[in-house]
Amino acid sequence: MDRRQEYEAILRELEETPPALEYTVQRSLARRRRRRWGRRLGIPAASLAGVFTAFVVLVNTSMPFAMACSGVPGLRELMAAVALSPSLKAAVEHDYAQYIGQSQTDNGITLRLEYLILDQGQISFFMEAEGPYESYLVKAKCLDGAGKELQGGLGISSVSFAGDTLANAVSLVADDSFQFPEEMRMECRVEGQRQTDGIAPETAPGTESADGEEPEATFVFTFPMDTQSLNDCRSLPVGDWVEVDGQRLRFGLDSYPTHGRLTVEEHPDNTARLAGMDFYLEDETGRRYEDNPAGSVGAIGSRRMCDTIYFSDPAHLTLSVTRLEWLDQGRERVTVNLETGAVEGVLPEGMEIYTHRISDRIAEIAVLAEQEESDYYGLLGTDYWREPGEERSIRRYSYRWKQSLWSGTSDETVIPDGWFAQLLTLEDYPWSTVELDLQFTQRHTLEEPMEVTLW
Amino acid sequence: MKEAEYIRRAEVLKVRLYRTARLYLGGEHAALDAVDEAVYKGLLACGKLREPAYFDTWLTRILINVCNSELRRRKRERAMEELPETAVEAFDALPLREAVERLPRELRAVIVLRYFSGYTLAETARALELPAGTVSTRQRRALELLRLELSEQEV
Repeated sequence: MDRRQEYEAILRELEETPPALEYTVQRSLARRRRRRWGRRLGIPAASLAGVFTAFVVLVNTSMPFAMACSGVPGLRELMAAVALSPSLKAAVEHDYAQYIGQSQTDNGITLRLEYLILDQGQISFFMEAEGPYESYLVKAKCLDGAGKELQGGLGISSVSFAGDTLANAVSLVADDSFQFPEEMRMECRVEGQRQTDGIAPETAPGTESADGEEPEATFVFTFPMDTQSLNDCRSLPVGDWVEVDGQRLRFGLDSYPTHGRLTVEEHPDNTARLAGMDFYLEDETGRRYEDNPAGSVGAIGSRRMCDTIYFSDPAHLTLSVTRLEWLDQGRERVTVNLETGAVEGVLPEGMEIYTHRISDRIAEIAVLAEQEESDYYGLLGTDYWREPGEERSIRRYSYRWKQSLWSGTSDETVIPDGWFAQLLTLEDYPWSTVELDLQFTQRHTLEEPMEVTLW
Repeated sequence: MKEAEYIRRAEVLKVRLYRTARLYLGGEHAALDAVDEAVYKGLLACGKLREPAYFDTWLTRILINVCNSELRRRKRERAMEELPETAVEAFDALPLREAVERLPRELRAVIVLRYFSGYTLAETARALELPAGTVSTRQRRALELLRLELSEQEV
């Protein structure tokens, strides 16, 4: 074959593209959504009744769902919906999906609950919606079939979805004490959303709506759950202490059929608390298992979600840490003067705070920092703000860029190119100072990933 | 550029991006990862693109930067794989695909965009942020090394 023939052969070969290329843009949209919501959805351990102390080692000897894939209607749509999540895709392929197929209409919105995929630690609900909005957010409450509160700790997260294609709209994560009911009653409040340009949705999924804000539509679904697979899990106990940035950590891993959980234990003598971590796992074949997978929350207490190795069962596994956030002890909070913007306490390097009072009872705080990889990230804790002796939850915050804040006032603040602002609104707050929790005091991306052999 | 337009145009361009990355990096998985990364970075930054006419070369430039990062990462992991321009005989002995993959990076970028991904000389220059004359020189040099005789009309 001469050079000309080789050239033509390569051109012909390049005409063929892999099927995975089809979902490139969807993967990017999902990845951005995960980056925005995943970290903010970290559920504090205190919100879960149990703290995952039980150590479950059960090999996959139990029968998976009796339901064969061929028996699940519309499997093609479900496979497309989980295409972005290697873990959920594998779970569907191994018959962990359950068909629900219920549809209801209220106030001009039709909500279809099509499938769930469950294991001992997580239930993923797949839905479609139809109505006058560009996207929908389903805030769900889960009860047993009789309408009683479910026993054990659980957290529920929601992701905004377009409606016209099947999506993993709601996820429930559970601790080991959670009692799965034979029948579940799911109460859904659905909010319609319209597209905004350059402004992220103002409230993170899972936070409550402001007072007086009504959902667009409400629905109640009741359905049976097949709980045969609930004991399926492979676990790796925590290993030896490893020194990272002068602090000591050790790691363990639980792999469920639909997701993995990396346990990160922190040494009691550490001078800083681990506030954030990006990582991936890599097996002996070079296959990577990413953190913060599609359709899941970022972290549950000390456990960080990742793709599961449950079905691949590798011989060796390495943890690679690519980014770390630390919160130094004694520097967790700052006090901000809302009139002058003055800060008591030490702000992390590169972070700036500005304030503006909208009225006697409403104030805004903007925290500015440089974007990372053209993306924004959490700067201040959004759970609480407080006057001495009083503690409240911030219900509204947003992220902004490429614009000025408080234009036309003496507090006008320009967000520099390449920077972003986390904007907090304090409602019903006439006082002049406020205490805020920092999300981190140090944050850095590792040029070379830090590697820890898990086994 | 509005996000909806970005999504529409990225869908159209993705095959071309894949072909570019496939030859530039030399593997299907690496190429897919690079396209994913480039499309993601483009999605985050599309609001800053003021001139939609330059969308293709803008996103291609992002892809080339992603590919270069990947090549830098690989270089740290193992010995340098590129051959110097003086290794004429070595290029001669290699199959064309491998020879392209082992061209010095600045020549490879030009040859991949021009002759395998179908970009014009002006588009290639814009995507690589180079003067057209430099692209032309590198294109000629790369074709010589590859012993590949292609005319402008064949692009």
